[in-house]
Amino acid sequence: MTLFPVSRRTTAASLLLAAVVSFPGPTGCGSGSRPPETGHTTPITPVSPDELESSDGHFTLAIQPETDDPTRIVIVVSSVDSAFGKENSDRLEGLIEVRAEAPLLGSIERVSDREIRFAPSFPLLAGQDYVVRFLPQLGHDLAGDTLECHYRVPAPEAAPAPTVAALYPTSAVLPANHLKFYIVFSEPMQLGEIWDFFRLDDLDNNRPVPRPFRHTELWSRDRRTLTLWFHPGRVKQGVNLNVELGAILTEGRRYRLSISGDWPSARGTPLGAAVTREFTAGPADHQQPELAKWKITVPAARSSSALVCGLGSPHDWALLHSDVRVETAAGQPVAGAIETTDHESTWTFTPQSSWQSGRYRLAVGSVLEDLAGNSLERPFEVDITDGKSPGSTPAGTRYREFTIQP
Amino acid sequence: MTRKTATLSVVGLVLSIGIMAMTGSAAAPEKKGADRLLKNVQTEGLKFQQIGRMSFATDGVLLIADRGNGSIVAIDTGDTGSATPLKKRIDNVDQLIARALGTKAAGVQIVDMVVNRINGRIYLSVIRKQDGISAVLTIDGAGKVAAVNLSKSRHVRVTLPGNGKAKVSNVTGVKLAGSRVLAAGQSGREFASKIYSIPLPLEHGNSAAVYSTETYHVAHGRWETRAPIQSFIPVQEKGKTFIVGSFNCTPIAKFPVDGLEDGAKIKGTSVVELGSGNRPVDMFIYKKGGKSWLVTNTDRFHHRNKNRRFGPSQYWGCRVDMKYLGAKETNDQAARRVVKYLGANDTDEKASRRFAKQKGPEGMEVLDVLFGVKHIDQFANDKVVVLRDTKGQLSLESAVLP
Repeated sequence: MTLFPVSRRTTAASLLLAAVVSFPGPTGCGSGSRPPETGHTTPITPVSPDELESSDGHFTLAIQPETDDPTRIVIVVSSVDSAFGKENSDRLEGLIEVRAEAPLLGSIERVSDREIRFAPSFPLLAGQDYVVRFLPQLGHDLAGDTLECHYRVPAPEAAPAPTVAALYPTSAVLPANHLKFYIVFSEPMQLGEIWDFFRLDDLDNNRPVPRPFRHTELWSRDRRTLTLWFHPGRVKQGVNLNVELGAILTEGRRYRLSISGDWPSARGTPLGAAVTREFTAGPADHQQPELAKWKITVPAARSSSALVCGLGSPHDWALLHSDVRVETAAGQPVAGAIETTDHESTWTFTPQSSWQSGRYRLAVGSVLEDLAGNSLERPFEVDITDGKSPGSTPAGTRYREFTIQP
Repeated sequence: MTRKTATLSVVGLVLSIGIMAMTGSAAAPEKKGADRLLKNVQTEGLKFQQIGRMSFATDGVLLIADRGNGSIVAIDTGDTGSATPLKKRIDNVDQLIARALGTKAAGVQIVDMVVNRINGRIYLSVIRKQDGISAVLTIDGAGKVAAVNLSKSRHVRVTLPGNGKAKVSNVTGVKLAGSRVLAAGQSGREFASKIYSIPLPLEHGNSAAVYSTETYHVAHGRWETRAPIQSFIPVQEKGKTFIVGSFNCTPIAKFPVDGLEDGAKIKGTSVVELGSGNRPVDMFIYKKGGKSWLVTNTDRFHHRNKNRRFGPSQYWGCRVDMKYLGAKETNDQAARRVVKYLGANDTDEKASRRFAKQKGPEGMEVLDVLFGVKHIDQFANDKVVVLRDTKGQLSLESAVLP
């Protein structure tokens, strides 16, 4: 393990990534006997390349940003003599600091008797200003003045606010035991402690539904799609949350799901306006989806028309894309594009190449769920005291054959 | 660690005084311990997509969940020497960390906190919100913050599950359990929760031997559902391995995990109820007064409802006599923490004491030393380190359990 040290000194807290970050004293670089305090309000002027270096004739402090990534810098202090020859590695701490509100974590190394280098452990933040200092008098015998430079990481170019590109399910009626939403954003959003950005209102009673969401962040790998779950403990029958607080949705009532416009993207730009979706709670759904009941419209041979499957009711949007595919009868996957329509109750598959006559099959993962978490494999809830109730079936792939006629 | 020091000298990095003291300077590397747990160790390029929960295995090996891509990472910290355990409380630790990362407290999320039981050094998994950077930071007893240099760390990564269908969106826990590592994973799509078993040594990039079991829960002896596990610990009982885990939906349950095959289904036996709306966060076992106790802190999500307050903070903790874990049948008989809600204005110390004195079933006790505790980890039996939230202010403290 490698550990990067940080200086023990800190200053008062200040604004987080303020649009205008300020520094006292000279902009660019200079020297002085003691470092100025931070916290003033004079805006810093952007530095030009020749301000990334400061020298007192003995020592030279230079900031070296990476050419294609200004958030990564290395600080180099060089000496006209062998000033660093006597400095053990463990004595270098604190000789160079890069600070925003306090010194940043970083590593310092002696390159030679005449040169030391400091690299921050983490990328600097876009749009933020930093003070870079060489502090030869701080516990060292080095003869020299404090050298100081300022560095501003360019702010990213102004970009449009993020948007909610899609919100599934799209149906205006959801079962009273509805389980989850997929929220697709136009770009990655800021993670962590996101739950205050959501609310659910009972429109018929004009009041918010208390604590309806499961506080577990489940993001797609590109961090653009969040699965927002209703708390399963309030959906499950017999579980204490359900017993004590009741279900989240009541059949017949109207609700509004809201996503706050304050939620920033990973780049720091908020959504801007709240995104809302109104729906009505329908009857609870405890029936499993049945592949055998899908209405399959088979296209003609030598056409590139879509295979259309009517599912009978809305199904889980994400699973319709990840766990339903078309194969040849021999099990070879057929390449093509999947679409869902009719509020995720129709699944269509358009092949890349024309259909050839012959036997094909739909291969559907048993995990495929409807909106209430009932899957091909098992109902969301199984009543184990009722011998007549459907139970769990083996996990795996279910098949439904179809034939393209010559 | 000495090996790491050698690596560092190559790349020219310099360790802090404390770390050098901990590791020595140029002694021969002691790879034996960590390398019993790790295979095909990588030495460069470790990055987390979204860092998650952590736990220490043995020999300074730190297990970390990468929530962003459904994998677990094991780092050979080399941190097997001495350190100064925390004695004096460190206030405003979130600000301390934030400043070291160049931001303010609101700009960081402390995901987890664990203690290296070898020497008491505290490890935090942290996300800097502005750019999503994941970091592992350490704090020693003097309040000195340092960063683990992930890019140069010795590590292995194992992706879950092993069959290539990587649907795991969140790894909610990872723990060493005898000859294997157990991890709990949740999907962002289907409502499922799986426990993954990964044999030792953990081999980088090799998921072939990983198997998974689905966890279920039965409510009131009637309604069986899949049950996502939020946190867990492995427990040995009469030569058998169980996990004691908590669900999103409150109960603490016990699952057998010996002899399971891939794709198996295990049902949890509810053993403890803490009251609805409580989500146990951390768990461990300690012994005192001739008894073994399960300790857990919980995040009570009703706390904002003034009429349903459970204590002065949304975080509280308790200990449960391990005898309750012997329950064999499900759920109606699960021991239940009996509590009365505090009043809307009962937020002072007196109310805390009154709350703590409530009598639940014998062997289930609220621990006032755990009020406000977001994270707790065990340093040595009854000695713990806690990350405490006091009206929004975070502090690190050492504590001794009763």
